[in-house]
Amino acid sequence: MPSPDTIILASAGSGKTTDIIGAACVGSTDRTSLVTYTINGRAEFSKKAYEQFGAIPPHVTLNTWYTFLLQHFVRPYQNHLYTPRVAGINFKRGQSARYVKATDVERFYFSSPGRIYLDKVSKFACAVIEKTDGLPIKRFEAIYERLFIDEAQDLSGYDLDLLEYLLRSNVRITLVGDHRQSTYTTNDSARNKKYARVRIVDKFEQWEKAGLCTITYQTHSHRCIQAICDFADLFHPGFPKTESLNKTVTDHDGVFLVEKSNVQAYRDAFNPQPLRYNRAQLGIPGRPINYGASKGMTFERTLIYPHTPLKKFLKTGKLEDAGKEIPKIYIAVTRTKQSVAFVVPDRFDSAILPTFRI
Amino acid sequence: MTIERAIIKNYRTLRSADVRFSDALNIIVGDNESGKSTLLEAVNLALRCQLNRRPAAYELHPYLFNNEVVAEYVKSHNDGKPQPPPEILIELFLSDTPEVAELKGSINSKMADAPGISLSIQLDEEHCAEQYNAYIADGKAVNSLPVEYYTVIWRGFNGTTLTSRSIPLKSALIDPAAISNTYAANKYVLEIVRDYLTKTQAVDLALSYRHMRDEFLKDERIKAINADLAGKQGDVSDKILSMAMDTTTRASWETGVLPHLDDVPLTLVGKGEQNAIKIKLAIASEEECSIFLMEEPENHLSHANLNKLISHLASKCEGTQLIITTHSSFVLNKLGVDSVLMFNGETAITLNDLPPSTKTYFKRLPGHDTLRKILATRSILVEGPSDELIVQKAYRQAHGCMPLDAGVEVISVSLAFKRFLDIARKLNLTVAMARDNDGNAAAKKALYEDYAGEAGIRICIDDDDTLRNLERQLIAVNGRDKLNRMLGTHYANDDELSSYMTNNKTDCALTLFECTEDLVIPDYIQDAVA
Repeated sequence: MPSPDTIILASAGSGKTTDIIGAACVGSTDRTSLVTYTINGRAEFSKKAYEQFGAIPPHVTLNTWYTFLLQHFVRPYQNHLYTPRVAGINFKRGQSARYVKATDVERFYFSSPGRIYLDKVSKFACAVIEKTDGLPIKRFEAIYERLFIDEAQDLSGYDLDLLEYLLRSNVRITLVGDHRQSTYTTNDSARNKKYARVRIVDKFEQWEKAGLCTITYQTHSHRCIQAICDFADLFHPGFPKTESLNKTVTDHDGVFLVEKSNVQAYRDAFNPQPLRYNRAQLGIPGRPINYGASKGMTFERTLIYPHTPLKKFLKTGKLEDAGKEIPKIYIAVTRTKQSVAFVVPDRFDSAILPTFRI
Repeated sequence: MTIERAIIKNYRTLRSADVRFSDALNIIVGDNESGKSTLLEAVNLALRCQLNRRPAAYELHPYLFNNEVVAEYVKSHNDGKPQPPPEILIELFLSDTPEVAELKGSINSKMADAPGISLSIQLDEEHCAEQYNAYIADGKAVNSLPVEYYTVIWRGFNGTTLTSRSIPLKSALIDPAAISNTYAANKYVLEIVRDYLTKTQAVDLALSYRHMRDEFLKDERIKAINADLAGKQGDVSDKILSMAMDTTTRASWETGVLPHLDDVPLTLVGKGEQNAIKIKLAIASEEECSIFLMEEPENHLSHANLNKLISHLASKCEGTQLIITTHSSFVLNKLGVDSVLMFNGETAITLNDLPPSTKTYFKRLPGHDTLRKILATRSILVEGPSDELIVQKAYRQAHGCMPLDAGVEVISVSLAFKRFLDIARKLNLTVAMARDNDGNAAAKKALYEDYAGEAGIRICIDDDDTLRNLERQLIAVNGRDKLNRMLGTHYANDDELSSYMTNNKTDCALTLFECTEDLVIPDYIQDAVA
């Protein structure tokens, strides 16, 4: 029998947040745990649930990934490994206590009593599972029948090992994510480094081969028009092409370059949302949002201030020029319904995009 | 969902208790002061994090802690060998059912994988370490426990902090004795009524109460008053003064609504009826209350009402766990000896913990008063009424008071010594037994060899095989003349006197007991009453 667990790789704007909420809340009252990476994600979930269903149904529990880890996989059986209560996480990034042996539990896992290192949380969870012969998993199975994890592409390090335990459990699991948007990682553990970010798909495919889950691609976008989908797909060749479900036509649709001297006029005409790589880009009018921070947002039109590698890519159209931050670029590009414009110097010569002048 | 086991440390009289409950009826029987009520209180504290129906954190005081433990703590500091601050721990192990799956984990003192609740009252090391260090700086000055630096920690065995809403079980504590004022009574009754209402009904009640407050403002007369008050602006304050119903959160319906019985506020109904109503309300509760804690249901109730209540309890409580403390043999007899938990302040046993023949013996006893008696601080087991009377007299001669006044029970057990010793052994009770040697002391002693090694058990049997029974023993130590005088008889030889006494056992014993003259007490009885 094929595994009931699925991994849904959804393109930007496919409405995955809405879908996941719907799947969790409607149709079944099986006890469901809904997990998302950040507090913002959690807030967005509960907002959507309140909007669509009036309230979060009693069979659904909303959690952030870290709370989920602490609540179900660290604390309930932690005393098999470590006695003082694990009160919280030390969110400092990087690899912790690198020269301490794992047998020195206190110093290996904790920065101070009860404060566990970010990159060790899921490792601790896995250690407890191993030591107790799977008690945390059995406990979780007794509480929940279904588990939905949003932004699954951000999971990293031992998170993946924990996930594998869960995939082997009785809980029906749905992972939803978009590897193309993996701008964060939940931690910086050296474990599973080769599956970090975009390459997490390799891990997903391994699981599928091992019969632990099936992968489905959700290739439509409710948000972006086809031209924007096509442009965004340039950053991820080798994956299924995105199909636009946005058939709205306006007087200004597509992907363009806008020359610097023309920006003011362009803004006056279309009122686009400015997006920037980071705050080091000074002198941007309006209220610019960083690429990464715009994740999950939708705008009518955007005006993107490219950072150096993106500028280079716009010039050559060669993916290798676009630098390491492709997920962030992908996010920035896919925020908009009708038009994306990149701010470039005057008389910028592009191999791939037309210049729009007012 | 039921409580399977409670582990309690340092709570009031319970220094260290570990009690297992059955999933249905539990009747806790124990000596006065053994901590039956405290046990119930501790269980309720852990279930609700409440003391005296208020959040436990507001009710902390040093006497919550076991006084021996506090004394040891104080002494350790006075002696310059400081011990860490003691903490109270109450752990409830719950039966493993789906609704408590979330509370499952191994965060308990046994490191057992089980659903459960743990409440501890301990030094707030995070916030009060500095103050505490200042407090103990001068060890000589330490004279009690600094509970003001203590905090209440209430968690599931899963390590998650609990709130009253996160506990998926409903429990009710029925402790009529604790109601001392109207405020407590109100709160108490409302709590039970609130449990009785379904969620929807409770919401409706809250809504219409709020609606009523709004209506109040719309009343023309109130409007007029407020308009008038508004005209006074500047007189009292620069702001506009107006009258409205209290809409702060504490003014929920509970403060403004009171249950009535035949139009009489429930708090003004007789205590007995009030008590019965509360118990029945709680039992009839729509949303199943899964655990009932009931303290001495016999209080405030006439015999007839108690009878009714008990029948009600026995019939309606299927599927709920009932933990009852009682002093009443009536309650005990009526609800059945199978459910008795004999509690000694540390552990509790049921008849099932005893050898099968002993269990059968107690089940066949006509009344279970004897069961209750054995749990006294100290008891002396004797064969029959005549032995009992002589032992009573011996005790009074030795200690200047009757045994009962000293909390010592003298129990006639005919020949069932072993049955009682079985219980005594299980509960570490202090028991002495005195019996005849029947002309073969060695054989009689051999019968109880098994028990002789127990710390609390004393087997008193005289070695002299020629003094085969109590009468012979009394004649031997008192002499014929003295006994003839005390009994008003004139027997010429010991054998005749002995057979007279043996044939009129109880009468003779009563005469000797009532006689003002002291009796010389045979050594083995002397030993038993020592």
